[in-house]
Amino acid sequence: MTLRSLIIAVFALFLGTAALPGVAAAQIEIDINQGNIQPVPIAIPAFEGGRGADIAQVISANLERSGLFAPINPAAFPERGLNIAIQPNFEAWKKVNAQVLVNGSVAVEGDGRLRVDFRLWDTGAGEQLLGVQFTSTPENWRRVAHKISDAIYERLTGESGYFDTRVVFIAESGPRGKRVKRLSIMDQDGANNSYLTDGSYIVMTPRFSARSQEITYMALRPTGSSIYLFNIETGRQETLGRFPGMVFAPRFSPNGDRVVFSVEKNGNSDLYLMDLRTRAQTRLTADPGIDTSGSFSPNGGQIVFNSDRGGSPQLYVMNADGSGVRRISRGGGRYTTPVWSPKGDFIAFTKQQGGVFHIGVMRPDGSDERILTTSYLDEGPSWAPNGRVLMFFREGRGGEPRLWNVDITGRILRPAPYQGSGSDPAWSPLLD
Amino acid sequence: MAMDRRQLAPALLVSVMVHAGLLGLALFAWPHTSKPLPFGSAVPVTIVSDAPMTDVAPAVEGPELDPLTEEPIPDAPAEVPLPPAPDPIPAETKTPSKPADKAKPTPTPSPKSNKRSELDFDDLEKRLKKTGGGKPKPGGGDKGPARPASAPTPRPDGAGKGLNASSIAGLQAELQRRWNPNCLVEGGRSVKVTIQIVVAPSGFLIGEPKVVRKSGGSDDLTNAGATRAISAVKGALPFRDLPDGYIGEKLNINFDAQTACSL
Repeated sequence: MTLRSLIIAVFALFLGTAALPGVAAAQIEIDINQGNIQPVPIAIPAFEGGRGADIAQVISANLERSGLFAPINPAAFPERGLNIAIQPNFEAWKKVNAQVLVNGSVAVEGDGRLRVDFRLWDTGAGEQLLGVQFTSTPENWRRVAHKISDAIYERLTGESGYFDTRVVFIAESGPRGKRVKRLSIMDQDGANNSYLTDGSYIVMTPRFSARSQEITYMALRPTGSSIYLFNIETGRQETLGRFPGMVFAPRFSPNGDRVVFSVEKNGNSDLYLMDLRTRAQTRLTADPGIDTSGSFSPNGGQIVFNSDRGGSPQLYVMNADGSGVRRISRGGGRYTTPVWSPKGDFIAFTKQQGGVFHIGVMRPDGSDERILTTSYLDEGPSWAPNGRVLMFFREGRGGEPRLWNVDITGRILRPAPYQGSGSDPAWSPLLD
Repeated sequence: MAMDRRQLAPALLVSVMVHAGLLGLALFAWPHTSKPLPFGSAVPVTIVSDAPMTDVAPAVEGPELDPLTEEPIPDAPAEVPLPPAPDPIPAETKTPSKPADKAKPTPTPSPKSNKRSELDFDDLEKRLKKTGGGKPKPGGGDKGPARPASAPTPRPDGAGKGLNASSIAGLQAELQRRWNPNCLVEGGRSVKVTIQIVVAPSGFLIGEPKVVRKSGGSDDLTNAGATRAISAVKGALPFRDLPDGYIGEKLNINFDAQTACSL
């Protein structure tokens, strides 16, 4: 071996060791590909102070109804009267299988306002995940409970909450043939239910604005149909105007400054758009079929609607000016009542096929169609503001329509909390 | 004379280079001697009682907790935006001591914990030298060669042979039992999160778990996934009977909801 070769060999050995990652750089990988999939077991003891038990109960009911949480039976709680300033006994809570724990306190301030503090704890990690305080007028205690529910839901699922919302719907009563239909409103958990109309005329298809507490709906009187705008907070109502024909299916644009609606005349129905500031109208469709149920995309640039221009009701998407119409539904069956998700990623619809009805969703291009429900009659989906839960109405053969909830995976299907007969639900945005 | 000098110079040069190479080997092969860890300074250690809980009476008052934040309900004037929640993934060096240890009985140390109740780097170095200073070999030999230059990252599958594999399989089983992946939420099923930890000889962690990788969803979804993964890790502590080569080393625990939710 020459000297040069020896030097090169030694250098190579030197550089080889110098190329090592360095001090303690060994990173050992451990893969976890299985888990214990279940709704999150959560313990929600009564909050300290007046209304504390009520608030805890509302939170518990909200989270349980979402299907993503499993509240622990209070009889199993190892600690009672938790002080929010003291760390809970995590080991004791783990023994009852509580993965997370919520505790809180309620106090009345000097000015009479309610102050509610809560903390969310991870018992496994032994640490606090959230700590927030709310103040409100005393009569708004339920809204505080809903906001706490939203905060917990968001922190643990990564999705926006939907509990601090309301639902307008058509409350139905009376025998068949003489049904009384009233515009009604309730909190999403069924509380604070009240009527907005007196039932002396038929009301249909209410829809919330995405930005405000204003709804639009169709009222049918002996003199004809009208579209109304109704501000729930002020009680102010106004009509959209007079139209040559029957008007129905109004929907707000995302920023609330326009309404798309259908006008029927001589058996033909087309979509129109009205600018609420100027009252200027634009005709969007002009084909001889029935075009109805327009719904804006969240950015306001497109409208999905159903039309039988091809021979049977199918879903179409067009630009908000009426151009670029293209069909998106591809499966067999009849597609109606499309509603664009607030997240923009799905369109919900009613589908009728083989004598049964379904609620389903598809992507805005028509792909990834999923059937979420099946029954004798499921119809009229409405999105919760988080774009992950739908409310619709279901009617059994010979029965009365009832409100139901289903999540976007189809796994969590439950009756809505409203006990009476109802149809045509419309979910509000978050209340602030 | 001139010829002797000519022969001597190359030899000297080679000798210097070999010695330099050996010195370099020494510096890199025994990492713990070069660890910039301040001996005797405050080393964060998580101390948790492992005595059985028998007292479920209300705990005595602990230290003051983080102040809550305030958000007025909408009908109040000017709403205060909801402040960010406390960071659920604290920095690696931040390890709060357990405040309620005053109320808990002093744990009876096991013989094992008597020897290793605190992190002893001298002891750690000796044990590592005994094992050859390298990564654990499959089969768990006492001695082995120095860490090879390009050793692949070991990925124990739990199905291997020997004590090391069964220890890791036990750890995996414990984490699987405690991990509740976000499968029930649209979007949660595609999240993957890697949590990095360093385990002390006691089986508890040095520092806090660290999220080193996350993917498959929005920030909110991946953060929720990370929270669930960290909860599983902390809930499974202490990690008993880990192979020596895993102690003091960075362990990356890969939580794959995409696979778990498809099962």
